[in-house]
Amino acid sequence: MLELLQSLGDGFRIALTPTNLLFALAGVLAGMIIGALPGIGTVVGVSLLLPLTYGMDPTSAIIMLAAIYYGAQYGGTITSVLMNLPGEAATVATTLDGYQMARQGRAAKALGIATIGSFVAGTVGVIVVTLLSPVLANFALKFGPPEYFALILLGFTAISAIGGSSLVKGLTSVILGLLISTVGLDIMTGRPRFTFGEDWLLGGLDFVVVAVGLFGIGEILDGMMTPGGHPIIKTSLSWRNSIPSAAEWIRSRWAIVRGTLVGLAIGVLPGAGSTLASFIAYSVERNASKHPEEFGKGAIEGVAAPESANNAASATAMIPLLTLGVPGSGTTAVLLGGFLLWGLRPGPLLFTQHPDFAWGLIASMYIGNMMLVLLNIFAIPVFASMLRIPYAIQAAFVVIFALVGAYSISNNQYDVLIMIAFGLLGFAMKRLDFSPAGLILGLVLGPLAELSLRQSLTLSRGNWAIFFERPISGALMVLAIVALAWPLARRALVQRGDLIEADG
Amino acid sequence: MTTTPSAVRIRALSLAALLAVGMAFAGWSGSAIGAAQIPENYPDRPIEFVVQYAPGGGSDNFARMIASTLASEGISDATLNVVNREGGSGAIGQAYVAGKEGDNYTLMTMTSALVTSPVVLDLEHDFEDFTPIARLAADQLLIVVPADSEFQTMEDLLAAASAEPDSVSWGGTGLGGEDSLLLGQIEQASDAQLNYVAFESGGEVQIALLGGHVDVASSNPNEIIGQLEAGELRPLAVAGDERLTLLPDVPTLQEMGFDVLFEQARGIVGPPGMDPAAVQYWADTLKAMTETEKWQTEYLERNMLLDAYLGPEEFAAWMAEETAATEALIAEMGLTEATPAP
Amino acid sequence: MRVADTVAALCVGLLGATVIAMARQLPYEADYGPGPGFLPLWLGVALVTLSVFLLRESRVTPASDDAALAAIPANQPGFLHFGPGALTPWLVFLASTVIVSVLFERLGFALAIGLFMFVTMRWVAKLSWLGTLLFTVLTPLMLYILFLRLLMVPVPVGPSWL
Repeated sequence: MLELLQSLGDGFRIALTPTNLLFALAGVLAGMIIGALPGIGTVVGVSLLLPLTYGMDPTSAIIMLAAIYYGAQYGGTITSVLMNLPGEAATVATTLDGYQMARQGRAAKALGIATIGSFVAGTVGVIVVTLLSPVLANFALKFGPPEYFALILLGFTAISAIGGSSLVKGLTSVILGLLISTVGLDIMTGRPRFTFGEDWLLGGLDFVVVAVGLFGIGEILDGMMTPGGHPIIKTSLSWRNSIPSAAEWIRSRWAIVRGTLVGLAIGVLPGAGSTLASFIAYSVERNASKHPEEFGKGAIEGVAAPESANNAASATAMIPLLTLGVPGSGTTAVLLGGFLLWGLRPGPLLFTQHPDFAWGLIASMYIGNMMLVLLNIFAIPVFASMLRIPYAIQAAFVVIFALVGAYSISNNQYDVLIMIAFGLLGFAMKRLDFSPAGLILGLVLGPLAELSLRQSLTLSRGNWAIFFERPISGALMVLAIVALAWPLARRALVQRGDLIEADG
Repeated sequence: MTTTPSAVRIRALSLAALLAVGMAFAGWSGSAIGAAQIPENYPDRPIEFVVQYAPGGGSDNFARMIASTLASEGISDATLNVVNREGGSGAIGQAYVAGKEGDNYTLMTMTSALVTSPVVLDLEHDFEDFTPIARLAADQLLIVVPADSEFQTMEDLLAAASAEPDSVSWGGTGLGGEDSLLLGQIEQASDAQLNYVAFESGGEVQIALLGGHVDVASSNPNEIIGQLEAGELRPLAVAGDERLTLLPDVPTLQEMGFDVLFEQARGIVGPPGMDPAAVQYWADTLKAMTETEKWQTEYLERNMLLDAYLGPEEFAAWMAEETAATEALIAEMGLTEATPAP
Repeated sequence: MRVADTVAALCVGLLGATVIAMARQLPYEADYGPGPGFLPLWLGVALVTLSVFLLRESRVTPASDDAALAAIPANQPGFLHFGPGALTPWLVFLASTVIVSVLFERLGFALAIGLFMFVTMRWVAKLSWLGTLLFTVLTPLMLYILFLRLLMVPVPVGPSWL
């Protein structure tokens, strides 16, 4: 323990040098701005900024890059709340209540609770990384394909929380998302599916392209049907407004705790860690809430829980990278590329071979979290004031950034066209009350669910019992089945009750 | 439904007409530029160096290392702008470069996937659509098991896999990729049959292997050197034709009597119809670069790669050979039986 | 809502049927467990089934259902019901968005985005000519500095035929 504190102290000494502090600040700012541009997700943001760090001293470079990572993630939250435009899969759940809060004139509050939740979760996350990395890395290794499959089934229970007013429509959205996720190369058999002979479709459709079209463009087309855009209540923009009231605090504090715990546990699993964590946290919160009917209509817990979850998850997502040398998410994969370029090899020996680097990075994670809070006190009113720009001008800028953003993902025209097509689909879905978030749920979890199912059955040579024979997967399966069946059963019961009343 | 004055509508219509004219102009675009002769002072313009994979990946690292070595060692004063055009497993960047016929100012990174994927996936562009410039490095595949595995040698493993087919699981990346092609060769050279489980990425294969969910996997040495040093994974064999300098105790498959040779290459190609003088310029420049201390230590040694330079003609011949071998292998493995899918 | 809902239900059904037809060309089973055609086939079946429920819902749910109305974000009843004076700007905006996307690579971003800003600022945001001109010139300039100079994204600047 003493040794650990000593190492961490050394880390702080490295991270607190004026140069490194400056790099951290620059990184957080650059990340936040890039992440807040509509149409540019976290992964794209980090990979666009990665070349800035080439040629720097490795420790400074990783401090800056990690700062960009948190900054960009927070920036993505800003567009989710203000424009209903998630920059990555992990902030989709935030849009559900965040954007509604913004329309009720509580944008600053939504961003405020997101900042507080992120800070708490991020700090706890870094403490966990400091103390428990080896333990959690071992936990992650216990998750083989059957465990993943069971966990993803549990993730699908979020359908009933995010599906909107009609269960049938919610399910249709999820199925559409699953269908879109099958486009591309099937890696289990090396065969293309639904690519219509086009090579560029082999890699499947990029999440950001789909999400920006579906949410960003779809939302604008919908908003512009009303002169002046969706009605938004405008309130004064002082930073005091971003601090939650006592009542709101009471409602959010357990959401932050629960979200953090969910995020910590799931974030350490490579794959869909933070997305799965945010959806599960949202659904847990709705089930735990005394006012489930307020979810999707601007409930502050609906922002606090997923934001805490995805920030806790993005801290623990560093664990597989640091201790096993395996990236846990798209963004940490970009970080790994940086590591290798600087001649550092993450893995079991990173902490002993490059202690300056490893502990400097961890210390900078604490500092980065602090900086985000301080920056946001000033930044929230500025960002919230974007809502005062006339709607048509906002809309034009969203389209422009979406275009350049979609193009810059892989520098090709197809992505731009796909994005617009999803914009039209998103518009139709909004008008018809189909849940775009449900589509995203299917799109993100679909490939993981299918792949882990097929991997499990290959491993067991066709024996379905594999899902129940292994302790972790067995427990998760039971939990998932109960959680999936319960809302369906409840809904069916409630509906029958309604009908009887109506008949009577 | 609306109360808009018709004047606005007329303006909107005239605007639509304006845009239509714009579209017509754009449609008339795109004249092909024939193969131009290069000037004396070539490369007189910046070169677009296309990486068909994402930033942070192996090809990206390779390209950026070339750009920085050429500049810092004073080998060429050409400006190489590294541009990532990823997507579709490389197909997007490849289509882009294949469409730049006769352009002497574009280069692209090449990996063995440029040889194997067109065969496996029947892609529109294969290596013949590009101008070979040089092969620069070769990568080995190591066959590894978890440290506490019951299999002590490669022979143990293959014996178990022959005694009961599919009882040993082999984790790798997508079917048709490098790992599965190596396994295909091994199965052909022995009477073993392993149960291949495909994962999304090399990292996920590693996690599954470390967690004991799969029995054995293949990996490039630089991806697992940390695990080997920490004693978490144990190497059984090398798929190349000689032992690795860093792992002198690990035998090659050929030493064990299996007729398996699997090497991956990294190189540089250009668009179709590149001027031979430009090809020669880059072949010579890259040859000089591979001889620098910086390239040898900071790229090859650090990533555990072998120096494997081949000039344009040898490189072309090598790619043709590899293509033929891959075609034979996947026919044997039954991967081509697939009817074209929707 | 009834017509739009019915059309949507039929579209979902049609999509499902197409997916089933396409999925049947993929192997349903692999060596062990489901093959590449398994998930798509069942997704197609699910879509067809859901379309039946959607069709039923579109008939059962009355158009004036309060809950359904509250759930529509714009608080506008009907699939394509526009607020007063909103239709023409909406159409102009949609058309210019689609056109600029199609022509983005060919025109290069400077021209494409300049044109887009010109049209939308003048006829959608209804700015003065001066305001329109400022946005038309300054937006591509700002994007040029941000994306091409600072982030070095290789977006095509000018028309591809020049």
